[in-house]
Amino acid sequence: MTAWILFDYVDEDGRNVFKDWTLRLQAKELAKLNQKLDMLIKNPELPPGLLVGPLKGYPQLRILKIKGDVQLRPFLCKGSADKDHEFTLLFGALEKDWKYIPPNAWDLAEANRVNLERNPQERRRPHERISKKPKTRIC
Amino acid sequence: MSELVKNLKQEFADKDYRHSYAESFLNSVIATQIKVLREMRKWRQSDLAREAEMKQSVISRLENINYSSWSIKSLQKLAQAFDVVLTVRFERFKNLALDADRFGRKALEVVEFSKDQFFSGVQEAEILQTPASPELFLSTPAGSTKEEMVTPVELLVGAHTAKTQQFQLTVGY
Repeated sequence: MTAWILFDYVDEDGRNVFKDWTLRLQAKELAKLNQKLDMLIKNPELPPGLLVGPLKGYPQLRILKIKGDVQLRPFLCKGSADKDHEFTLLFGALEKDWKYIPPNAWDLAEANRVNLERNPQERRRPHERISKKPKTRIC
Repeated sequence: MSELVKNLKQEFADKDYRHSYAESFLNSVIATQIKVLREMRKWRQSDLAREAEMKQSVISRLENINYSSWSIKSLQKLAQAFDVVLTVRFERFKNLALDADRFGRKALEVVEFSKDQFFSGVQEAEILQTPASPELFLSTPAGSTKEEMVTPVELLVGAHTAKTQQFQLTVGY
């Protein structure tokens, strides 16, 4: 089976929005995020409950639900160029007490998706996997 | 070595990271394997629920990678329903990296006892023809780790799986 390819959304200033969000995560959260992304690349349809969505009004959006002390809710969509082999990570949000942080996360993710569709060449770049470096040991 | 294994080799240097990755992978794999084994048998969730004497709503909950409250007892009931063996053991992190790399339907499929060629007698003759060797390859349940060399002595203290019995037969134990 061919592996899927991940892309990150970049804003109009060329800033990698998803990478910036990922850089703020702790090691435990980052590990869970990367584990889910690793499965997504291998076989997105196989793990039950991996991709959640669509929600009413947002037919193209999907989220990964990542449980933990901090509940991560990365938004993504298929494509935009090849909807059978690509995902683009659009926006990173959190969920606390059944509410999204930020509250308009779905709208922001959808806006990014629309921008991506309009200009797929400029508004994405290959996904940058963030790996936390081990803490330097001071002997 | 694949790109993923290279990444994990580096990332697993962080203890918090590797244990969190392991927990997430474990939950994902169990849920996915339940679904794969059920689909292999062409069962609906209600069929599995009946075979395992559980409610269909429980099966639905277990077949979700975000479920994390596993009990050995529930898993044993599912193993009995699927007629496969449940193996729980501690492993080194290298095996986690390799398992993550080969994640897929094929790696999770397990035949039920009645379709296991090892017990049909066909494969037994082939096993007996294999020359005995002081060093043997041991496969993990999730697939092959061919670089893992173990001696027959180590096999004797290994888990009592069909695979180890097969190896024991080869060297005449």
